[in-house]
Amino acid sequence: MSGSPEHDDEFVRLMKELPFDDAPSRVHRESLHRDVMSRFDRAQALKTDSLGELRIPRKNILLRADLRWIGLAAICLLMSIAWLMIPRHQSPELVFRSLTTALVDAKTARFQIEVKQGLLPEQVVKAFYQAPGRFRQEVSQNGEVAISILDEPQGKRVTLFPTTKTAVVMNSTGPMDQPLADAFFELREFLSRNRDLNSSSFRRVGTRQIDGKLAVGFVSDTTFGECTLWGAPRTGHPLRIDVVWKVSRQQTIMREFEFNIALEESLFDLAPPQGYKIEVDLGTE
Amino acid sequence: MSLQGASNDRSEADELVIRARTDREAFSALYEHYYPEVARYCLRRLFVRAVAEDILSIVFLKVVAHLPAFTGTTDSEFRRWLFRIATNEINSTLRQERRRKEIWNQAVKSGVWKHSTEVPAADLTPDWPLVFQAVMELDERERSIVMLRYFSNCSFDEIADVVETTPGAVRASLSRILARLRDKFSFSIAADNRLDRRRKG
Repeated sequence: MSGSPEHDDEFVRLMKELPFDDAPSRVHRESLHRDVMSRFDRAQALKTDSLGELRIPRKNILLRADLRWIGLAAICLLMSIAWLMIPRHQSPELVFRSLTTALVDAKTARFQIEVKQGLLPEQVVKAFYQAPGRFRQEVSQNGEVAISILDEPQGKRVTLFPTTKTAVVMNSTGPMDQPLADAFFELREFLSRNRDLNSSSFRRVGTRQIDGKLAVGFVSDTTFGECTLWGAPRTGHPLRIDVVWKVSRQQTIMREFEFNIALEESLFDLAPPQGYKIEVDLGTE
Repeated sequence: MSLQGASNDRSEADELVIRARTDREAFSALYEHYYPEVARYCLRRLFVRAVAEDILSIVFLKVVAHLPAFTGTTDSEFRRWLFRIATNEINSTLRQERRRKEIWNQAVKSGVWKHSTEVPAADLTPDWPLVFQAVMELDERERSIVMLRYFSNCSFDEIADVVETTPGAVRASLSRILARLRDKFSFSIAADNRLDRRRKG
């Protein structure tokens, strides 16, 4: 088995020891083998028959048919070129597909998150993401700056407070208590299962202006809350994502997205800077 | 394990996949090789043997029906394709709420697992019903990832192909699923570890 050793722990052993009979049944294997082989034989026989039909010499008929098809194909090609040259917006399905693909397939991302909850002052967070599970957020409030760096696959998080030169370090195999990172990861995971508009739970909500740009919207009631995606109608580039979380009623707005940009490795460095006082957060362990 | 891994002969395994499109014996060999692996995957995902075997039949019959349209030429591509068909069939079965409840009830009734109180030294035995329940509570995609990873020995690349995402997303998902399950299993694992220490001691 290829992969990371951190997963091969007692959990895996426990899973493998589940008292469950998963031995394949010989009777079923043999009976299905008979069915499958008989289907295979029938399919092969059909294929041979159809090949035989093709061998009938109908050269002239085929030639005339070919010319007709070539003519039709040429007309279609010309129409497609003309259609492509007319400036227009993509269909909602294509916009949605481009929007979800940009978010799900992003190797890196830089964006801004605004967090609103009740009467509490709004927080603006600068977020940096690097696949598969590294997340950095920078927040500034009342002159205080906090930088939180999460490396989820490693199960490590460090939060830096430059004003007091303090670093809070957390090593955990449990939840990492990083709600904004979780929100982003959860959103990506949800979108990875809902890439196509027609088979997804999203529906169109028309258009609106966002930062002076026209945007097409799609909304869905997800397990974590109401999620609205806004994308550029021509490119499908995400312009804004609104999530109203079910439990907390917190409103999260993600915007100013940049994807697959070069992000410095140092942004995700988990080593506290020199001179910082280190505190350990025991989390839920 | 794929055929490639088994024989250490990449071209031979790939050759078998190519020949299986038209050659009866090659297709039969491919079936015999993959049946146990796919059967275990279906059984672990569906728990109820009768249901798992129904799905298994559908999977292999679909393989025969769609083999002419399969464009892959390597054993690895065939394996991904096969597991994608199996995963889609299993998920579409589990998507029916009624069906899911039926499977759950049948699994309980047929005694797929024993309740820990029936087992001697219950305090030192993992709480299997809890473990099963936690696995059942995972959503379709999560269960596919866990089962493909730990019971079908699929690589992150292969799983990504089956569940139609990126290897990075699979890795991140797996990490989150395990973290969540670890929380639920903390009691079970602790008990299991105690049992182990006692055995060794």
